[in-house]
Amino acid sequence: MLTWMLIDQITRREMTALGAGTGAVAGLVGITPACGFVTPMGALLVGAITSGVCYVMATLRARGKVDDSLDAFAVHGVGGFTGAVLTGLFSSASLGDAKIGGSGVSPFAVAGGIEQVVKQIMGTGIVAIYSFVMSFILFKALQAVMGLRASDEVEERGLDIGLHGEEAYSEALA
Amino acid sequence: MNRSNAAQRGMMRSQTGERTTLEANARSSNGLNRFGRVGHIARSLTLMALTTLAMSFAVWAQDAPEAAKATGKEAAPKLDAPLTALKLDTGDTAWVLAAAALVLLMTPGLAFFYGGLVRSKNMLNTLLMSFGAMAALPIVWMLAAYSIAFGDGGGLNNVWGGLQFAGLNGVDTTTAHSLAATIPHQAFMIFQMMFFLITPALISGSLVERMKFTTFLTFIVLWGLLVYAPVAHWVWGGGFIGADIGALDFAGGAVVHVNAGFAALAGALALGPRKGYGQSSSMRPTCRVVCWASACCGSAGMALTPARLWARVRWRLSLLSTRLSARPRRC
Repeated sequence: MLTWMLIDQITRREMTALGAGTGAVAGLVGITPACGFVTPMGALLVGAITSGVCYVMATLRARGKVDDSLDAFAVHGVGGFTGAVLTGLFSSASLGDAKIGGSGVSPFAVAGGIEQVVKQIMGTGIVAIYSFVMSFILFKALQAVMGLRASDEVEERGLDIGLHGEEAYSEALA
Repeated sequence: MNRSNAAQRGMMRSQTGERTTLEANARSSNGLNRFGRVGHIARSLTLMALTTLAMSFAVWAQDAPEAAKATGKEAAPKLDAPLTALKLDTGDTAWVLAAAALVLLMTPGLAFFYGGLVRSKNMLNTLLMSFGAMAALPIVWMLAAYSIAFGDGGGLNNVWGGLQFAGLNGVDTTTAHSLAATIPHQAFMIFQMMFFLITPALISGSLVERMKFTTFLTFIVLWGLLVYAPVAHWVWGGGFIGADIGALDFAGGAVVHVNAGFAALAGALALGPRKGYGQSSSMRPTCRVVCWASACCGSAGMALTPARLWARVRWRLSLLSTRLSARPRRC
């Protein structure tokens, strides 16, 4: 979160609440695969690096044509992958998993080694490819069967009224 | 368009009386009249019937082997593959249940976060995507997904967990799953269910403001069965990614985040951009809503996610010690 806000401050001259929220999520995503295997100091690095990578990804996404509206892919897809790779890098033997070599005594020890990083990339890559392909097939199948998008008119007026017949805010306030 | 003009005129003339009729108009226009009221009722009834059928299947599946076990118990307390004898640790159990409650709260936290990030006219729809996941997916989890993720698929165990625990058959409080020998099997199942709830809710982040809600609900049910459950099995449940490749995933980097993230990318590609995307700056949420989002996300999401992580740390460490002391098969 601090990383994201810092980058915000440097590149945009303002720290946004949106950036703080997204940055916090990005850091948490990064540490998710790693949290049982790294030291607290390693965790700081994992969070900071993941947040930076996600920031770059979100910026690229905003320039591209794909409308990943709330950066679900930029933060969770890319952040998760980064975290998984960093898990391989920083995983520490002192936390009890006998599979991993290295000492893990130094707080910033890079204990996992290249071997574990390769395993991480393989495992996570398979998940990513399977998820993408299967989801795309599912979306396309549902598009054929029931249609994916709300009608243009509904999208224009807002999905709350169009699909649910309710509004969150009265018109006087909105 | 006409209706909203009328709405504005109506608001000017009188505040309350006009408003109720306008709301009624809006409600009747949203698709009910396309099939007629009878068609709508018929569809609802079919849905209810199907749900009841599924429920009764679950109850039946739970009952039948219960009887078989009662007779089997006296002869030999032998348990099938992923089951193991329960070495109950009350501290572990309490902690896992507390952690499950905290992880559960992440999904409403996400709902408020995403809800606050969209334009106010799509707020409820975005909230409902996450809450809809919380409503629909536990049923899927209990009926089949838990089994596919954490069951033993026999010869196919590398890729899928089979239907051994379908309808929570054999998932009781007197035995344990071999991944967590110190807590009752049901507590393990509940804890794992929380990740199953939030993952499809995460996908909604790339679909908001334009997707049909009925299609979304159908999608997450199918996605949970066809994508999440097998992937969870591959990574955690004894499948090839965790057991053969040896990739580490402590609390769901691959299963939850990479999985949801790439599904979200597929969804954004399949759906296409929102109307006006990239042309106007009006996609930015209103100020007020962002404040609300950060407040809610702050209290729910941020405070709870570390709790979840630490829950897992504590829990897995206890697992590791038990696992290291008695590790008969794969490393």
